[in-house]
Amino acid sequence: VYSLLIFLPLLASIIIWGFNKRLAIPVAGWLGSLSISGSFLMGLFAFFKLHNTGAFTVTLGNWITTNGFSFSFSFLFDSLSVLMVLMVTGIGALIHFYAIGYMKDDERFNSFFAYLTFFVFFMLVLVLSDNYLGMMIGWEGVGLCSYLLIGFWYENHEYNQAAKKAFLMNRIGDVGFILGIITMLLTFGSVGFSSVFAKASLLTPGLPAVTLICIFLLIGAIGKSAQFPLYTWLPDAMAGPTPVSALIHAATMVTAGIYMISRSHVLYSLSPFSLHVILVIGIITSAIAGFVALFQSDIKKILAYSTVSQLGMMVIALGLGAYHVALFHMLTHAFFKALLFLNAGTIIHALNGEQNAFKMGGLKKLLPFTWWTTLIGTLAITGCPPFSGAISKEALLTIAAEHNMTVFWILVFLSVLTAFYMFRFLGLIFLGSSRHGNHLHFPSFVMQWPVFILAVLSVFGGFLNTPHLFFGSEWFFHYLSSVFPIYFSSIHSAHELLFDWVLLLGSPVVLLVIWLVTYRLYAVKRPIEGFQVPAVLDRIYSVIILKPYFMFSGFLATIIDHVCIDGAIDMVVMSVNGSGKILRKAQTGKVGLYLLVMVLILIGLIFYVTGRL
Amino acid sequence: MMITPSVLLLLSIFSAAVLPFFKNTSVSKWVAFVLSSLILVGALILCHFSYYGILPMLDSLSIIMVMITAISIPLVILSTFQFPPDSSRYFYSLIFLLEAALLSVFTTRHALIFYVSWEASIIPALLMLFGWQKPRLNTVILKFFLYTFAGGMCLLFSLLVLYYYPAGAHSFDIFELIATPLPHHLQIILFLPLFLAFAIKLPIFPFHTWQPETYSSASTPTGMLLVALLSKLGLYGILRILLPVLPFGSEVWHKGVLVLAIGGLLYSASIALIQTNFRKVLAYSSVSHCCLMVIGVFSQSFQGIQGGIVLMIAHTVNTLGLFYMAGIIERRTGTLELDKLGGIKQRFPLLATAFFVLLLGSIAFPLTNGFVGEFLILWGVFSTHPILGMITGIGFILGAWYMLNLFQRTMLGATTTSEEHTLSLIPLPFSSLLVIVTLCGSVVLFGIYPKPLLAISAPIAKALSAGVSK
Repeated sequence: VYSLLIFLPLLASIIIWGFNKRLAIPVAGWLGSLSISGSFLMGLFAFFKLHNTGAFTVTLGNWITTNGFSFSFSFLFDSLSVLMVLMVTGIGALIHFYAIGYMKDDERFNSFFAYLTFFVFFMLVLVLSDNYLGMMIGWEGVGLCSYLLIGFWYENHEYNQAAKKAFLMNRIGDVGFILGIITMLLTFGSVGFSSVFAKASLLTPGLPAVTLICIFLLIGAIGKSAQFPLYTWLPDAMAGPTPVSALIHAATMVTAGIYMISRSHVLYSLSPFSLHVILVIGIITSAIAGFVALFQSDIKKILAYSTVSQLGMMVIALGLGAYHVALFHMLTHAFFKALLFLNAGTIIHALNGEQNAFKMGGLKKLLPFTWWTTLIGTLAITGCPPFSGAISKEALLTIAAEHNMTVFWILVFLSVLTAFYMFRFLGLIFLGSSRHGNHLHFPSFVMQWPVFILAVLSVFGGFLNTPHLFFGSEWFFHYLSSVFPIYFSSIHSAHELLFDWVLLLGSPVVLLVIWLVTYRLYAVKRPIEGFQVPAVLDRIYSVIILKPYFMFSGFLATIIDHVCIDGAIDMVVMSVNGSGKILRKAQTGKVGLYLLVMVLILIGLIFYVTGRL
Repeated sequence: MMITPSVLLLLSIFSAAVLPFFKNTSVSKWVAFVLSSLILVGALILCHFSYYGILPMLDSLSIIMVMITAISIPLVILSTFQFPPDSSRYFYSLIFLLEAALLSVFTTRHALIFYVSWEASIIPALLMLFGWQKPRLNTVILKFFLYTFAGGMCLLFSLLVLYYYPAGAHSFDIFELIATPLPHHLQIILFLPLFLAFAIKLPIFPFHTWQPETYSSASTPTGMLLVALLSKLGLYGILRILLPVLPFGSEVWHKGVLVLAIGGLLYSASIALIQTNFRKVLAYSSVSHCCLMVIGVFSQSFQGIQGGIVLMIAHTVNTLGLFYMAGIIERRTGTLELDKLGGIKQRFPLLATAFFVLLLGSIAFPLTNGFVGEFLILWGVFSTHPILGMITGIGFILGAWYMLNLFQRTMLGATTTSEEHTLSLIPLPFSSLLVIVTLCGSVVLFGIYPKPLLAISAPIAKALSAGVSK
């Protein structure tokens, strides 16, 4: 029955796609939104069933059977996958409702919803599959939907390029992921989670085969979760409609890598080396993206780099082996980043497609609802207590401090960076003088209530895991402890409490200082659109890889293929032809000459034969 | 009723003989379609009986090949319904001659008949190229002929050596040839001409240069037949003769073949990336896929061989569809130059969707037919040669790249086609839709439910991988 949860969005997508033009404009939207709400409800049922009976599996049938190996369509409901289901369908449903308002003037409204619900289907396959090959279906499937939605307005050449880039960057990751699966098959003889982890837990740490699996899977995660060096597709992916950016490129798809590594925690815990690699990649990604976000003028790109940076923080948490913390930050990030993106969408919608923050300003009075909710989102992402982001970041900082003080200070620095670019974002858009035309589109109700719910979640979402400091029970971590071995200390030393208090009280102070600085820079004076960080990594790829590669391809096509190989063949043909021409001269047609040659040959033959005898 | 391979063969030849008498095009196309369907039904019965051992006349490999042929031919005929070729009765007659030759190759166990039918299949293909190509590029066709004929000579030479070499009873029976072990040095030497014969037919790098020109100058149905069926002769030869008769030679040479094929995979994918003609992209993509099949088949592993066979089936479906798309686009826009195309999705959303589904199959997207084969190939080659496996992975990225480029440059963007072609905006007729839906449907169907393909290819893979690893 629970498999219906996955197929409800697929069904809706097929219906919308099949009826396409015959379906009136809002109907498709409601159909999609309601189907995902239905999945969410079923997810809740699964959640409660889980509470009573523990993890369970639903098998639908065989997919590939070869030489004693068998891969099936089979879905695992445990606390991790159900958490993902609730996040994907919950936020998915809200964004679907929002999109009904946002896309209502687009003539391809129905196609949009067909793709968007199709995406949710693949995302559910990704998080629910009980084996890596099934996950692979979702893994490539979400990439496909991402491609279709980034390039949704396909008349625009640049959007198509962005879509293709996203697909190919992801494809690099996908190949890594497949190779990881194959290595896993060769090592463990299986790709099912239960059997792989059971066999892996018997191994000693540091085995090269396991490290190889981990690195291959990591390449997949780097592609999907937009980490260095493959993150460059994500900022370009903002070409898609804003609900897409909110759902796919902020809240759900890009967290697939985080989910996958958390899911494979048994393997990663066996490979300290790959955890180090993860840590380093997370730090590099987060730092680069944080810096670049400071120098962007497109509001969606600011948010995109912010997403990359926050994903980097989750990856850092993974690298520290704190999978539950990574997942918690992923959840709160899904709340506030979806909120921020939807508000960005409202602003773009209101300003008739304007995305440049330097042409905004002073929107506080014009869009009060958006202002307040964006403020909430900003406070949540910067980690101001008691908003949700603060609690997840605090958990992250605490874990980092336990492991390694260097990482702790790097994280503090990254959080400061976050505060800078987010306050800049807020100040440029809402405060200061108005720098835009006054003709505004005001958001309809259907675009506001999902934002409101996300705002509530951004404020209170953190209390899913109320820390001990507030006499909470860390419910979220306990919930996940059926999947991860999480160490809970019941006794908290004075030292730890002091540390918590310092974080709690220190962060608002730091944030206030940053706010004052950014306020002076971007809200009081008329801000100048100054230095823009170009996409440096893109340039490097273009110069080092793409251009030489295309030149090489051209060389292959013209010189090697045409001249060398084909030329060699032509030479053979020509030489045959030429020898024919020479031989033709022997065909003189003079009977006497022929007879002479015949006689000579006969004499020669006779001599030869008698000589042999 | 007894259905034997010879009945199908005779039926094909009979069809070829009868068709020229139907002068009216609208009649002859129906006659051709009905006859080809009849052969398909016969083939289904035959394969059914053989598979379940009721009347074991064909082994799994033959069943696969016969089914591919019997299914493709009615589809190709159906695809010509809207715009039948000039003097279509002769064209259809040639299609049936081709079918007869192919069925004969795929069902015989006599090596000499194998060779004769192999060569016989070139003749109708050649006539189709000569009679129905658009610009008359005789040099291209001459090259095609000489190339494949040279390959055929290598085949004949090798088969004669195989016949004369064993002391005692000489035999042309392929199964007896398999049963007779050959000395190692002969296997090593004989591998080369045989491989050359099959490599040219497929074709794989570096014996492919006849192919892009030929494919792009052929008329649409001819191109479909060439790429979907004739190229499969090469792989069939490898599976039927090369690997089982020369197991030791294959083992010695397999690394060389793998390197050659992986090089060819990346090489042709790179060239496909910068082609400016729709059909040429498809042609190089086909070379690339053929290299991939060879990689699988020579990976010396069960999965690789099975993957090679499954990919071969998928490749038939996908290339039939893609070459048909090329034909439709050319008919409607008057060009296949990518610079002049664009924005077709705006006018023909259906065409764009169908093309995208075939594209997904061709780039091995999960839940499409291409994925099963390519996944198994990658698994196979990675299990025996990890480094080569990783390089093969790069081919997956390049494959997606050139196909998405192709999609973007034809389907996406703003409409660029000029006004003179607004006439051709009439919707696709039912016959074309039927072809497209059948092909796209099987892309998805065999992606979700590949079980029949895997079941029927398993015994072949088992036999070959057991023979190789000895």
